Amino acid sequence: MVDLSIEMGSLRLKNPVLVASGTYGWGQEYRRLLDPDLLGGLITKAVTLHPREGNPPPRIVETSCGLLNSIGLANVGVEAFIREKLPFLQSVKTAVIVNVAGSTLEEYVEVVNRLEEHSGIDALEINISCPNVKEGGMIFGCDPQSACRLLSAVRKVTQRFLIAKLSPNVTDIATIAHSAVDAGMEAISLINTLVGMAIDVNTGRPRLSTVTGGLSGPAIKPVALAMVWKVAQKVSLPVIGVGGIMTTEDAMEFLLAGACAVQVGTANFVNPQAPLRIIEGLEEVCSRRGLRSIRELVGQVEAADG
Amino acid sequence: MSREGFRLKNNEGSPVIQQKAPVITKEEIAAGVFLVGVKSPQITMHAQPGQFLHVRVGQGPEPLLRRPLSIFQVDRKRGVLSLLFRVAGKGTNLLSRRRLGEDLDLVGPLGQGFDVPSGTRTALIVAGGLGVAPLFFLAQDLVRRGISIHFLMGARCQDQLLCRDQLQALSSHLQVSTDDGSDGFPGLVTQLLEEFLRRENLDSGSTLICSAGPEAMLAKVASLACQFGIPGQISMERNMACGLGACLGCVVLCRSRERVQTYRRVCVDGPVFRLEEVVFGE
Repeated sequence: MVDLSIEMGSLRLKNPVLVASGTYGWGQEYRRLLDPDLLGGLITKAVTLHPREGNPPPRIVETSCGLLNSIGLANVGVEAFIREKLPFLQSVKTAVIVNVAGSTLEEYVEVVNRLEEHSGIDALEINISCPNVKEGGMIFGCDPQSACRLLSAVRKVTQRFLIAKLSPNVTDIATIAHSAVDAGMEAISLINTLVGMAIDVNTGRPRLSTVTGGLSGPAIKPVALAMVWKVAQKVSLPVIGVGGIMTTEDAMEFLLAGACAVQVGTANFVNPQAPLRIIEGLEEVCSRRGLRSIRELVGQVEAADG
Repeated sequence: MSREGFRLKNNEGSPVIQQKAPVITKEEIAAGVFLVGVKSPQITMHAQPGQFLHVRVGQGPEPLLRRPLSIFQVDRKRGVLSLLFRVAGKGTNLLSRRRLGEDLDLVGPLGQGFDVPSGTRTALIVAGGLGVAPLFFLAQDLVRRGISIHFLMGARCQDQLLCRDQLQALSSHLQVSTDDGSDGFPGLVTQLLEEFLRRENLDSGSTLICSAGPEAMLAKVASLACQFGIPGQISMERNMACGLGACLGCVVLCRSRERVQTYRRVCVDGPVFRLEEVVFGE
C-alpha cells in the first residue's frame, strides 16, 4: 500500500492532486462525473467581496495546445458564497481551499475576515496573479513590496493556512516568492496563467473582448515546471505546482522538480476524469518503483542547483 | 411543466454521463456537413430535444477542447443518437474523419433543452443553416406528442437545405428559403417567417416559436416574435470549455424578468433560452 498523503505544515492532503481555481467552479458542477471526496483537495473559483459579472464575451479561445481565457473574476461575492456555495463544500470529505481575490488590499482583508467564522475551509489561496482584471489581481503579484504588503495584511487577520498564488508574468518569480515567505505565507502555488493574445485575421480584431487573456493548458507546462523548480530551490516553503498538467507523467515532473502537490486545471475541461486518472497513476508508479510514500518523489530531480 | 421545475430536475436529478461510444454510422449529407451516429443507450435514454453532447474530437492535446454538438436525433429502441455538424475548423475536421467502430468520448446529455408548455397546440420551428441540428429532434418529439408543427428552413443555397426529405416526411408544413433563390422562397428565412406571421392569425396562447441558427437571424426572429406577441425559445451557441457550468467561458448577455442584465451560461442555463431573455448585439 502506497502512502499518497502529503503534509505541508498544518495542511494535510489525502493525496497530492488538487483541482485548480477557476476550472472547478464551486465543486458541485462536476459531482455527477467525479466523486469530489477522491480528490486531494478542491480549490474554489476566486471569491471577491462584492459579486462580479466578469468580462464581456468572447471570454475563451482555443490556441495551440492551450486555452486563452478572460473571465474577469466573475463570482457571486463572499456573502452569497457563504450562503449558497459553502454548504456543499462543507459536505465534501476532502481539503477545501478558498481562492480569495480583490481590487484593493482592504477587499482581500475583508473577504478573509468574513470567512473567518465559517467552518469547512482548510486553507485560503490568496490570488495575487489574475491577469484579467484592471484593478488588483496581478498588480499585487508583480511587485515584491506590494505583494508583501498585501499578504502581510491578510496574514494579520487569520490563523488559517495561507497559500499565495503567484503570477508567472514577472521578471524574477523567486523575488516574489521571497516576499510571500516574508509575509508569513505557508505555501506557494505557481503558476497562474501567462498573458497571451490571439487575433482573428479575417476581421483584424482580437479574439477576446479584453484583447489579452491568460494562457493555460499543455502549452504552458514547461514554463510552469521551470518556475516551480526555480522557486523550490530558493524558498523553504512548500510549493504547489500548476500549469498544463494533463497526465500522471506531467504530475510526476512537477513532484520531481520540487512541488509537494499539484493542481489540475484546464485538463478538467478536456477530461473530467483527469484528476482521478492522475491519482491512480501516481499510486501505480510508486508501487512499481517500490516507494512507500509519494513524498519520496518530491524534489528528486537530478539537476545542479539553479 | 414550468421552466423552473424542469431546470431543477435537470440540474439536480438527471444524470450526466461520460462514456466512450462507438461510431456506427457516418454520412456526408451535404458538402462538408456530416451526420454521425453513435451507440450510447444510456445517453440516448436521457436526452431531451435541445440538449447537447460535449465531444472529444481527437486524442492528443491538439485541438485541446471538446466540441459542443446538438443532439440531432435519438433512436431509443436501438440506443443510437446522431450528431449533425459542419466541418468548420480543426476540431470538426478531425471529428469528420473518425471511422466506423472508433470510440468517441462523450459527456452528456448537457444543458437545458426546449421546454414546450403543456397548452401548446402549434409550434413554429425556424431553422437557419445548421440550426436544423437541435430542431429536428424537437420536431420529431412534438409530432409524437400530437402538436402541429410548421417548419421553416433557410439556407444559403439548395444543397445546404439539410435533411429536407426527413422533415418532409415528418410534417406536411415545410417551407424553405434560399439566400440565392435556388429553391423555395428567395431570401431569408426570417422574411418567410414574417410573411407567415402576417398571413396566419396565430393564437399567442397556444403557439410557440422555436429557433436555432446564426445569431443575426435569431435576433430577427426575436424581434418578430415580440412584434406579433408569440412566445418563443432559441438555442444559442458559444465556444465552450467545461460544458458543466464551472468555467463561465460561454456566457451570453441576458435580461431577467425584472430587466436586470446579467451574463448567463450557454452550457447549463441554456443552450435554449426564452426569446426575450437574450440581449442581442452586445
